[in-house]
Amino acid sequence: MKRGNKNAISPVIATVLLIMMVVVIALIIFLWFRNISGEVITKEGSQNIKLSCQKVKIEASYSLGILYIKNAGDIPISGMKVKVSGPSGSNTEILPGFEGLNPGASDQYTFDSLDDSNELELMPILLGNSDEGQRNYVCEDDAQAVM
Amino acid sequence: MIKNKLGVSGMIGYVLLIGIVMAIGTFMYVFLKSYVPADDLTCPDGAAISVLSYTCVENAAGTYDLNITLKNTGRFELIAYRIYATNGLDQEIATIDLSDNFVDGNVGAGIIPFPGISYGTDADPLLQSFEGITSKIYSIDITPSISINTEDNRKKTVVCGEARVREKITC
Repeated sequence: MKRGNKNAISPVIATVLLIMMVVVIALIIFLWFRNISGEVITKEGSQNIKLSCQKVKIEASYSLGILYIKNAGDIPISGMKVKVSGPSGSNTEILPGFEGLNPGASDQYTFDSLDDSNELELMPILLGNSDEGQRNYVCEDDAQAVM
Repeated sequence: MIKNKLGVSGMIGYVLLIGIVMAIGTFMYVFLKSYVPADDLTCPDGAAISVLSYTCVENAAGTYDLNITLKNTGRFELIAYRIYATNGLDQEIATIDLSDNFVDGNVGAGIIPFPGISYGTDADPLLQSFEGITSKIYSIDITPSISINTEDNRKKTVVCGEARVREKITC
């Protein structure tokens, strides 16, 4: 049987459908990519906090169960994570007693769960801004070895 | 068999193409904008402070009194400083905050402001006194701060970590 009109839908409807599909696909890709890239936390205006992590300068030393830390940079440090690595594996924990270090400030902390075979790394925690308010960000990529 | 092989008209094709490019461009701009470094507000080279002399004595109460004479030896006006001390011979990083022992002036959050608005480069040496230090100290670290103007004409205090000076102390 032969139909007179071979067009399934009118060009206008087809165009509207096409544009809608493109918009929906773009939205899906946007949300998917945003989920992959993670929530953006910023500091100092709209700068990504990962850049601030690279500017953090820490001076640290360890002696007789006491960890000495100085914030030698211009970025306030709101918290500190300590990664202890040894033959039996590694462990990461919040540094007990650390209440933040402003630029130029220094302090000492009792941390006696170490022996000579351990390696100690410090990971500063910075306070940044996100869509959901203030958030802490751990600078894991910019950890600093102490011993 | 379809006679018209065009999916959409040329005009619609252009509109779609430009629309998609703009959407991708906007997305990339928003995403990458945060990775552009902002202008650094850091202490410029040339800020410096020196300890000209000091006295450290043990008082009758068994605590220590420290007097230091500071001089702005840099090219910029200083507005404040932090002072920390070591209480051990082998201690590398000074962590004893001496601002609590500062005799005169207002101290806030470990920062000791210089008298007046700032401490200029041509100003006389400045005597600073600290009393009642509970433990014997072996060295002091002094880190000055300066005030710089931001792009929107606001004042911001920056710590001059590179200008930190260390002085060995014998009490």
